[in-house]
Order: sequence, then structure tokens, then C-alpha cells
Amino acid sequence: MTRRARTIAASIALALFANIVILATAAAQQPARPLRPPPPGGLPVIPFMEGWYANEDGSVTVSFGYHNRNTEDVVVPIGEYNRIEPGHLDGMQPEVYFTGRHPGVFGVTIPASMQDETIWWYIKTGNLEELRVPGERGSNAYELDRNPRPQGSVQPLIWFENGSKGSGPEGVVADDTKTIAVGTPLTLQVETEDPSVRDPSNPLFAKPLDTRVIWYKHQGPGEVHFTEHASTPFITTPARTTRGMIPAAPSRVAVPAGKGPARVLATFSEPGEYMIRARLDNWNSSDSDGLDQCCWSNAYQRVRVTR
Amino acid sequence: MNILQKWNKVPNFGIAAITVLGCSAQAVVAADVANTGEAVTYSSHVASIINENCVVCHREGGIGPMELSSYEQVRPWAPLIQLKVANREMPPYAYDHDIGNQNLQADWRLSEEDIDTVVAWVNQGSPLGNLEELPPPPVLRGIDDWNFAGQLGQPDLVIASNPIDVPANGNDLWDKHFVDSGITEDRCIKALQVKPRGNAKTVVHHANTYFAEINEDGGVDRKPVTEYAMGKWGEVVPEGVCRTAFEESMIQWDIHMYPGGLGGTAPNAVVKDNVVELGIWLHPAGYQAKITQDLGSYQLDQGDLFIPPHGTAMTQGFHSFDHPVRIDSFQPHGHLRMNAASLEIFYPETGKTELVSMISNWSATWHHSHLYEPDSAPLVPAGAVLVTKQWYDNTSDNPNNPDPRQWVGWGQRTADEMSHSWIAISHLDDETYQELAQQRASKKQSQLPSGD
Repeated sequence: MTRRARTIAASIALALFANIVILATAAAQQPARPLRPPPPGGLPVIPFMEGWYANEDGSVTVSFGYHNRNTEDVVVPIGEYNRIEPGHLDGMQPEVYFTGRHPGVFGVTIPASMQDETIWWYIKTGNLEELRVPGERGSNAYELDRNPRPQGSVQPLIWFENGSKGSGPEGVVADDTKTIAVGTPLTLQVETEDPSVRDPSNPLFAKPLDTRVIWYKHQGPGEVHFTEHASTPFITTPARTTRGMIPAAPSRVAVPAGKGPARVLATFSEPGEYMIRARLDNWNSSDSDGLDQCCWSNAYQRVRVTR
Repeated sequence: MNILQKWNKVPNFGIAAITVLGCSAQAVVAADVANTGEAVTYSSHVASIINENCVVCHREGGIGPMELSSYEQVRPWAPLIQLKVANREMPPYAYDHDIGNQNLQADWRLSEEDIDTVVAWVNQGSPLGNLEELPPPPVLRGIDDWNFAGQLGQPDLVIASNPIDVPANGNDLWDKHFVDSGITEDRCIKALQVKPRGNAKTVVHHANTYFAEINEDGGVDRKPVTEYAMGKWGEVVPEGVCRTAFEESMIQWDIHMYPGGLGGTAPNAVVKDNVVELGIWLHPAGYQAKITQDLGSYQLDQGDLFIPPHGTAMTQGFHSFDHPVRIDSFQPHGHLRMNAASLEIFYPETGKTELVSMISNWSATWHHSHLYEPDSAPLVPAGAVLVTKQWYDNTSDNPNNPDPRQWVGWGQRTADEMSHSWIAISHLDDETYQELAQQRASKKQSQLPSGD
């Protein structure tokens, strides 16, 4: 058997392998098929505390994410069934939960004055049991940092025009609230820069890496439809599959060489108060990945939609 | 059997450890003593057991948290030693007794007789005994020597990772870079070891290596060289099998580091110039083998591993081959919540399931690759199904659990979980499979008492 044939045979063998969680009783299985195919709905959104950052001023920033195992998105408005306690830290969590694993969707900074306290994120999906996770300056196993990764990746910088730069899961929130009418496309724009310094002698870094901005509806009562802006078209190639089941939304924009703007057109179906999230990542680098908890940054834009 | 002796058991090494064998004979005598209620002393009975099984780690500069090289060092720890030995927590080789395949190479487990001797000695007050009966100190390899150096000499190839400083705390790190392999022609591998240098042992969670090439799309085509996870001893390829070291490939390192470290000797300090070395022992050029082997990661790729707060979970994976194989080794992998694993084979034609290996007390600090003796390594017909099971405990009962209040899902971080096994597979054609099966049947027949 040639080396290539061996490689193909090994690949086929690996592809046949499936590994699944047993929740009840085992039954005869076909390879690569889960015991329990994901249902369209009915499973709770699982809240994840991704980790915590010790900030220089004594405060602690906690990164939160989630996993929606349903094949359909779940909406849980902020309020009794979707809240952060204590209440004065409430408000940055999403109201729409897309299918799949979404790490570091928002951050909550616990001020230095209450740095030893624990915050809790509560979420209740439909009629299911309420779930919760704590966030705090906790176990070292969950400690995160903002230092360069081994191949140089750091959290990229993201900002709105004339705004301050932000990075990391807590990111930056636009100072202004944009106003637009239902059905009218609104241009949204973020500026980006990846300051990661990588070794060009590494064959993977022979040329600067593109970064990526993905646009998400974060909060709001209606649907948000994203279409590409002519100046920064959507990425049409399939997204790299990650083992952590992190799906890539269609509204992906590449930022060539990791520096420049990303734009999108957002159209809203209903009036109300919305928040749009732009996630900037440099996951093209071998030392950066969502479930490795580095490196990406969020930016949030509030939008008021009128009739 | 003891740690010094383990690798001498590998037939193709063909090296005897005279002093070790002598000590084992002493241990047998001690076992008799324990069972008959006679006095058990350190000098006469226990020192040899500790020398052969404990001192390799519990010595000056070793990874054990205390030294156990003399009676004075051992005596204060006697009750703890008794507890750890009686519970089979030490030596750290978790593998269930009396179930599944017990014919392992590099098996660190103490015999029942040795355990009984240690227990009896502590129960009798841990006496020193007659100094003239003390065994000579063990002949140990150097702390940083290669594990197989005594049997195989120095590796033919030593490939080092680029140095990196590991901070005292913060997020896990993954260092993925390329180095030259220096391999100029395809060769068959005899053995492999991955060795973190110095303090790196406690901060290197895993260090995988791949034969790698950059493809036309700028991606990486790679095949595993070997895998290392905390505590792993190494891998030995059976005689008559070729696991190929590919020519003109780069080596891609994929090193996962856990700042601050894990386990009893975690430094909780910066580790400067962390380097991991890959040692490869090669067969001579021109070595021919009918059977090819590779190492694969048979893993969860469904992203559907969830462990609830204060809860437990179990995963089950399946794999079948379209040709016969022999399972040469089995090494389950997980993190802080994983506490047990097993390997089974399901035979569709009979509907029967065979339990091959069970590890009921698995720990992330000791990732052993359980190497089956070639004569009893599972022969798996085409179509049979490998079933890997892994169990997780996210309750406060799990002493390794960093926070039982958290949801735990799949992830590479130490705080997240994984569900996969590294399995070395010898790929067989039908003729070779039948030949090996026949050899085993003949051997079994010849071992039957005459007249049967």
C-alpha cells in the first residue's frame, strides 16, 4: 500500500468513528450517528462561564458563553428568565441564542469594590428548568489572561468610528445609539486591527493573516437580516470546522492582513431597541481558537428601530 | 514485576536486570512472611519493594513529592504508603485487576504479595530490622535520562521543541510550531518517548508530534508521530511491525501547557525555556516488516459532551475497520473531571462483547499507554466494533474538580473535557490475521496439560 493509500485508509477509518454521550440506554448504532439526533427545540440553552480575567485596577472580568443544542435558535428576553445577579451588572447577555457553541459572547466586569463576590447568570429556556452558572475570581483552572499566545496571537482591537478601542469578550460598546426605520438597511461599521506579532519564518505565517468579523443580532424584539456591504463582501468559502461545534454565521467579513474596516447592512423587521454584536477573531492562526479562549473581541452597537 | 523490570519484559529488548530479578525473589520471600504472620522488616522485605517501585520517582530531583531512598526517609510516611499501596493508588498505574486483558508490558502495578508485605510491615510498627540484610541501593537511570536508555541506548533521533517561557498563572497555552525532523529516508520506528525537560514535566499537559507538510492551500497535512500526556512513559512498537518515520517531513509540535502546573510538584511559578524533546529509536535501514502500525486519536467530534454542575456523564464511542487489525495499545484521554475509561470489542456475528481494558480510577496526571503483550494483543476481525467508554465526575467528590458548579463541555483547556483514546493499530491482511490467530491457537493447545 502506498503512503497516500495508507493515509486515505486511515482517514476513512477515522471518519467512521463517532463518539457520543449516553444519556439513557444504549442501543445498536450506526457509525457517526448520534444516539439522540439534535431536536429542533426542547433542550435548554446551557450557560458557560468561560473564565475570568484579573484586571490591573483590581476588578475582575468574567467571560460568558453558551451552547444551544437545538437545531433552531432560541429567544429568551432579558428579564426574569434571563438575568445577571446582582442586578446592577445585568444587561449585556444576549436575548437570541443561535444553535451551537458560542464562547465568550459577553463579559461582565466585577468592580474592585466587590472583587471577591460571585455573580450568577440565570437562564430558563421555555418551560424547562432554570440553569445558572457562577462567575468570580475563582479557580486557577479558569483564569484567563491577555498576554500573547505562543505564536504571538493577542486579542485583536476593535472600535467604532471616533470611539475608544476595545478587546476581549467584554469588548467595546458604541457610545451612540443609531436610529433607523423598519425595513430600511442600516450600514454598520467597525474598525479593526490585529496587533499580533508572528514569526514569518513559520510557514503558516509567511504572509499576514486575515482576520474575520461576524455580525450577530444580540438583543431586540424582531428579526435582523444582514446583507453584505459592497466594500467588504461576505466570505463565501466554507468556514473551518472546529471540533467544538462553533458554527460560523453567513454574515462573515474578512479583514485582509488583519487591519481595516468591516461593514454590513442590517435590516430590522420590527420596531424596538436592538443590540448588534460584531465578533472580531484571528482564528486563522494556529494558536487562536474559540474554545482555547483566545483570541477574539466583541463590539456592540445599540440600534433604535422605528416604524 | 516492578518499574525497573517492566521494560526488560519486552521480548525484543532481550536484556536482563540481574539486580532487579534478585530483589523480586526477596519480595516473594516477604510475601510468604506477610501471610504467615512472621516479622516483616524494612531491611529484609520492604526496602526491595520500595527501591524497585517507588524510588525511581521518589528521590532527589524526582517528581515524587518526598524522597523514599532510605529507612529514615520512608519511616515517617509509612502510614500514607500503606494507604496508597493498599488502595492501589501507588505506584500510579490505574488499571483494573482480574478483568480484561492483564498481559501488559510496562505494568507498574504491585503484586498482591508485595502489597500484603507493605501492609503487614506498617501494621507491625514499620520496624527497620537487621541492617545487614538491607538490599543494595537500586541502580537507577538519571532523572533526565530517556526511559528506554537502559534497554535501547540513546535515541537515534532527538527532536527538540523551541523553548518557551510558561507563566505562573493564566490561560492554558498551545504552542504549535515546526522543526526539521532530520529524517532523510523512510525508516521503521522501534520506540518513542516524549520528554519534557526539568520543571516542564508539571506544566506540559500534552505534547503531540506530527509528520507535517504544508499543502498547496497553505494548510497542514499531518500524521501522528506520537502523543504525550502528563505521566506517559513512552511507546514501543512490537517486533515484526513497522511504524514509519517519514522522510523529508517537518515535525509539528502541538504542546499544551498549563501555567502553574498540575499535580503534587506543580511549581506555581514561571518555567523558563520550557522545552520538550521527542526521542525516536529506529530499526536499522532496510528493516522489513509485513505489518504496518499507526497511532490514531479516536475521538469525540460531535461536540455533544456535557457534564452538568454537580453531576456525572458517560460517553461511548464506536469504531470499526474494514480489515482485520491488532490493537497494540490503548490510552484514554480526558481532563480533570474524567475518572474512568474502558475499551470493549463488540462482535456482530455472535452478539457478544469482550471487555479488553478497564480503568476504574483514572487520573489526568498519569496518562498511561497500556501496551498489550504482542501474543495477547486483541486481534479484531473486520467489522467488529471497538467501543470506548469514558466516565466523568463533576461533583465535589472528585478531588481534581476545580469547580463543581460549572457546566463542562468539550474543549482543549484543562478545565474543559475531552473524550477520546489514542490507540496504536497494527493493520492486517486476511492472511496475516489468520496466521496470527492460528499461532495463538497452537500455542494455547501446546500449553494444555498432556492427556487433555
